[in-house]
Amino acid sequence: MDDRLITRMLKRTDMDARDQLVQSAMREFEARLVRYACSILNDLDRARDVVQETFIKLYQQDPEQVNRALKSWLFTVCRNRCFDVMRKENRLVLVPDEMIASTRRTDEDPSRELQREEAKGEVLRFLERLPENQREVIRLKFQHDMSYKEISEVTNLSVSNVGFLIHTGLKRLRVMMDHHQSSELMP
Amino acid sequence: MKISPDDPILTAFVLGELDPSEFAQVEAAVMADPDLQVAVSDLRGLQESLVFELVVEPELELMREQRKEILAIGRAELLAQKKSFEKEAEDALASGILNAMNADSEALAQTSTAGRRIVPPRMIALSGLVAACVALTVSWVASHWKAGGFKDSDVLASHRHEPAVFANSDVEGFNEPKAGSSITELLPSTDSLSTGNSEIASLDSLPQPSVAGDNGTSSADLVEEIPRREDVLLNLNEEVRYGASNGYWEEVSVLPRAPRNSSDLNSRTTETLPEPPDGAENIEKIEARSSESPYKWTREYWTAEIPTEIDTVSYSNVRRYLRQGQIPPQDSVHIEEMINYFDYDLKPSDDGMFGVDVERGICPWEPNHELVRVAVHASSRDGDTAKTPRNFVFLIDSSDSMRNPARLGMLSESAGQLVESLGSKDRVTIFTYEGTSAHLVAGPLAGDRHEALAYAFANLDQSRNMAGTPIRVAFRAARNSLIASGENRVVLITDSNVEAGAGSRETLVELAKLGRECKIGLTVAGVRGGVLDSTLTARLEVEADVETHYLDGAGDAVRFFGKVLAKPAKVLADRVSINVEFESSIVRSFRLIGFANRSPVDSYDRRATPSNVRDGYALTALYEIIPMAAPVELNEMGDHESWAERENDRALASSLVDGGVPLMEINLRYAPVGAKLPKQTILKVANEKVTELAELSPDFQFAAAVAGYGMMLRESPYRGDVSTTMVRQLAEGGLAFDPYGLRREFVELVRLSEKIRR
Repeated sequence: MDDRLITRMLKRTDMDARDQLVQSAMREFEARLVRYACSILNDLDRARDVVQETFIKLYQQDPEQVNRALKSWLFTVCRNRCFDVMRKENRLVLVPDEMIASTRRTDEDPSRELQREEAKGEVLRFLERLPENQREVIRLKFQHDMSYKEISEVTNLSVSNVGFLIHTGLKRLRVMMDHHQSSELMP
Repeated sequence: MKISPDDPILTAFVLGELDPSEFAQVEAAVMADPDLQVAVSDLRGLQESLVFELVVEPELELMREQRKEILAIGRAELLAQKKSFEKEAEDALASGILNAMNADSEALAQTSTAGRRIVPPRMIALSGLVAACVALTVSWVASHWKAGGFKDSDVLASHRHEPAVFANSDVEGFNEPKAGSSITELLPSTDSLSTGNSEIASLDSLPQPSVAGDNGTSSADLVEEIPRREDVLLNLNEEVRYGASNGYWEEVSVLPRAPRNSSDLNSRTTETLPEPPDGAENIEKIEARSSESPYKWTREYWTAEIPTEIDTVSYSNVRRYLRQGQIPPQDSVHIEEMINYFDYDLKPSDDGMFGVDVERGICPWEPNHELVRVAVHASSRDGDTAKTPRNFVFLIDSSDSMRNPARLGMLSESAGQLVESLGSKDRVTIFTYEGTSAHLVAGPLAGDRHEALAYAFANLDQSRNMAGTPIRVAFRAARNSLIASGENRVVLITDSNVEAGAGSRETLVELAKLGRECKIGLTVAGVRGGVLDSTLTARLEVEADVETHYLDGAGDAVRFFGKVLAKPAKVLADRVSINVEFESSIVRSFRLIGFANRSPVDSYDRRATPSNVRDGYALTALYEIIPMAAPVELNEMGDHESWAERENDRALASSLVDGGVPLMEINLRYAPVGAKLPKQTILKVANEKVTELAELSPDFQFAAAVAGYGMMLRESPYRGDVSTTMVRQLAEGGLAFDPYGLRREFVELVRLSEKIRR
């Protein structure tokens, strides 16, 4: 019997500490995680499934270890699980020739887009137009109140990279909003 | 300090991300510069509206049923794990005490001061002691558990001790452990322990969480609804099935999941396959979010699973981008798919279905690191597949777009590879189709009529009309020439919509399913890529076992006819899983190259669906490892490591070369088709001296080249000093084995990308 086994055994026997950990984590993070997963997957049912799995996984962790960075742990696992789901369901798509020829994507039907957007606040509307990675770090920062460091743990980006993405994203938002306002003033 | 209004540091300043000294500097700069003040107030305004709008987004929650399941499933899984540990613990009891008694006390005193959470192998003596103690605890708890006489608080109290014992390593209390001594004698009772217990021991039942005001209702409900542990035990324990050792054989579904609109995450059924409104959007979504799998510290992750299902489509995409003069977008580059696109020189193993090749060498782009190539391949021992008679019906698109040398011409040339392998018992029928009309070119012909077949493939335009939609015609022909004891296959080759020859998607899927029931398989090959609709091919694959291939060049086509079709693959085993475990005293951390987007945190994921393996299956995985013996880099130090410990570990690791401690273990589990019991093979890889680059096999060099190139394209943070020159040299070192000219093509591709970058 080697020592790794012992460590494993020790970690796997304290059930009530886990109950507490998972319950308190659910109280604090359930709604946030569902919202986060939903912002990645765009599907509430799947987002719920992912969050449920995240908490089940949390139960398997050593409470003492995971408590140190619970928030990052939860968001990281949840995020990875989302990618697994997307990957599993969409597999990698073979890029059609036309895509390669013109890398710009064609926008969807403008009238539909407009209807959907009117329901949202102005800033959110512009937020949706940012590139995926900028949108994600901005959500993590402003919606989930994470520090650059926590975001870097969750997304695997470096702290300076996170800072740069947020900075660029905010700048773009600003430009889009200015542009919007000036075009409203001068039709 | 001079700051421009567009400096990211200003954003960090507004968001409170600066440390005090930086903050003071930036603040001073802002006070002095009106431009900066405007920028800061702009940012603050934006921050406020973002926070406001994001926080007022609607609350989303789990469903009640889901909440209930979390603790129930979590507990049941834990219990099942515990069961399998009980036996190991009992076994350990004897040997542990023996170890402890033999150990000299000096070693004990030394190790006790270290007080580390995870004990390195050199602390065998202490671990012996702890093993004895833990074994006692576990078996004691187990016996109480079985007797049903435990209370929550009992278990809590005793279990609470264990981590403390481990952390404090209070050796004085352990000086003379005896087999008969009770658990209370063995456990030290320090002040810290008793305070730690007091709050928990006072709880008689499940801990009642203090309910916060705002979301109080949901959590209060939650606690009420969660079944007590005893109930879970009674109701669920029987349903948990685990392997005898520590193996997790089957996905354990303990509780029936609450019925929901969406189907289970792990199942890939038609309903879950989304209809993308527009393929482009889909791609962007996936591609925009990928991150490479990071290094894992072996002390925390001792085992990792290699996903067994790997597509190869990424390489086709990369190649096509490059051929059109563009550097492929980073996220379209999937390194593991690129590596596995190529064939490697793997010799079938003599003694079993699976062969595992492991090779370890210096990492070309990071000289202090090493690369470990793990190649797993499967082949049937009896080799009777060659004798199985085969019945092929080709349905080849001959519309205008196909009529050029790079398409139909390419097929005609490479079909010879298949023809040569056919014998008198095989049958071949060839149709072409244009739009909705099918034409018979030749057949059914006996497989040994090589000249007639070669002529037919070379003259695909000489054909006569057939009545009916092409795909039906083909399946009908396959049925008419069916070989009951052999393999029957319709091969559809096209450069446009797959369903065009069938009329509609539904017809195609239905026919494919029907075909499978009559033992007629379908293979779809897309010529000059980009035309196969991935939603449809995924659906065909899931519902009707349809295989999909991409023929993007002569090499692909030759391999398709010469290998894929000529050597039909029957399923050899299912539920295949491969786990790799690195020895933590030799390997400090490891990273599976590629596999971006696949969960890096918890790869020991028992919920992953293990997959089928066919004859001729091959998988190559590359691990980049940081050896324990490598020079210490400050930025690589773990949180809980001291410099001295690290040096110690280094010295120990250097002494282990060529010793008895294996470098790694590869644990292969599979269920052979037709066998009742699953099998498990464990391969221990000896810790030999690391091979120099020049002495490594062509396969190793080539795989490293592809990995390095992929990392370059992805601009991976782990790419070290990889360059196109290095990639080319490595790849050229791999050209010794190049059965379909694909490796040479890769070298050309690297040259091409050098030109594009310039």
